[in-house]
Amino acid sequence: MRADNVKVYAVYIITTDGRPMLSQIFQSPADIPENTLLAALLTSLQIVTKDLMKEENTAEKFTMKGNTYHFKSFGKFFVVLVTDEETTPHMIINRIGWQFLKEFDNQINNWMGKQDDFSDFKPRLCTIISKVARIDESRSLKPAKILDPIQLYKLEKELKNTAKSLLFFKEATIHEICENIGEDELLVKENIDKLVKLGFIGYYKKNKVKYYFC
Amino acid sequence: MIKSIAIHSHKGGVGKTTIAINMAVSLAKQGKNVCLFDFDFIGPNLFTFFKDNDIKKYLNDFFWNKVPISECLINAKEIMNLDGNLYVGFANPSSDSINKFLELSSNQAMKMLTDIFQLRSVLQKEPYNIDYLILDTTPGLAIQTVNSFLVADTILFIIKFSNSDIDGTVELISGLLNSLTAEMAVVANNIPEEVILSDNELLNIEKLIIERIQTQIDTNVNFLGWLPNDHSLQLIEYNNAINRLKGCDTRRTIHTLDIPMHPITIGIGKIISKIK
Repeated sequence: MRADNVKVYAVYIITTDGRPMLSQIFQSPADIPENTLLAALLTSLQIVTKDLMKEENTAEKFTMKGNTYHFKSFGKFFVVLVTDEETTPHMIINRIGWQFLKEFDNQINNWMGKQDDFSDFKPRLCTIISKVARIDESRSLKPAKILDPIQLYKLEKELKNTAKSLLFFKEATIHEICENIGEDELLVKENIDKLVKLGFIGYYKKNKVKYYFC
Repeated sequence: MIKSIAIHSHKGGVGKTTIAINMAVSLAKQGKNVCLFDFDFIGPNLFTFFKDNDIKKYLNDFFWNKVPISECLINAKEIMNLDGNLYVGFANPSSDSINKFLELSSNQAMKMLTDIFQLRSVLQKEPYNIDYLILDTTPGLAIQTVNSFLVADTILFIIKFSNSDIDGTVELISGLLNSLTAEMAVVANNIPEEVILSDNELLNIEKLIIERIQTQIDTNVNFLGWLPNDHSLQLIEYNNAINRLKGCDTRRTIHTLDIPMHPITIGIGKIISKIK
């Protein structure tokens, strides 16, 4: 199956007993679940479906918040692919699974739970996926809270100018904010990070440039 | 670079709007380009200093009906024979408009704040080239007051000389100081005319106010001066009101325009020189 139109948001490799081995999230971490929780969910799902269907690995996908989680067992581990399409991109899953197995077969058996052990495989993941599908690398993050006047008023003083500037621009790069308020780029970056953590600011990436908005 | 000044008070009726219009006119008489906004959307009052015929659209139309700002401002330069431009934007005094602000949602307040930031930027450029943006705020601490505070470089607190107002203002400034980046200053209004005859007494009053502000609040909060009350104004205002009841299109007295040598005009001039 050609999967040119499939947009891949994340890939997880999880042991069949529910331990996350590797994860590569291309989109916002806020929109994609944390890998430990996902591993737990997947393991529970496999146990429940096995009890129901009296057969192993019968569950193949589920949908959450509009994203479809496709998964396939490769004996010792699962490959989970998160996409915007309900149709499973088998070719991508198979390529990831077999190549991972080929490269780490011995390590998987003796693996002690250190996720860094497989991190060398991350660039390979991107190569495999981008050959047949689109990777959503915008890493967009929507603000969780409205930056209304009262919230802006309550913000610590140091963050106010940066927040005001973003309200003025509606969306802007760090460079634009620096020019607008005449503050140092490092300081603005620090303030932006704080505002993102507070949930008032979102961001997306376009042509490798990060745009912030509220 | 535009300088924005929010004229604020802890409670209503302390002369906030009177001081705002007098400052705006005084600056425009000096050749500055000034923009004066009635941001007291709950209790609009600025329109009383203008004749009905002068007012066409309101700032409410800009914020809620997407009417261009150019249509919501009047330039009082010709009417008042000023050297600089004086653009004035009015708040709509209709009950429907006031109700809308009483029920302002977070989203609406945020949209309004974004519009204000952008408006400030527009006013800095051609054709306005505004030097001073003066905002007549909603007294106390409402959501639209916060909008004014956030856009202001300086917040000028007007204290009417009564104990409750001084105490309330001191409390208000103390609370705001930790949250706002704007400079804060205080003006005392309605000092009895009898008192200002004595320089010693005035110095004592100033000393007492500065002591109170700087020990109880912060040494960075400045006292910019005082303004006397004007007993004769009561009669003038009464006559204006009667004329209005008779159907005449009148406006209230603006000291800096109508009575150039009045102590209020002189006091406003001194306050402005300290703000500059």
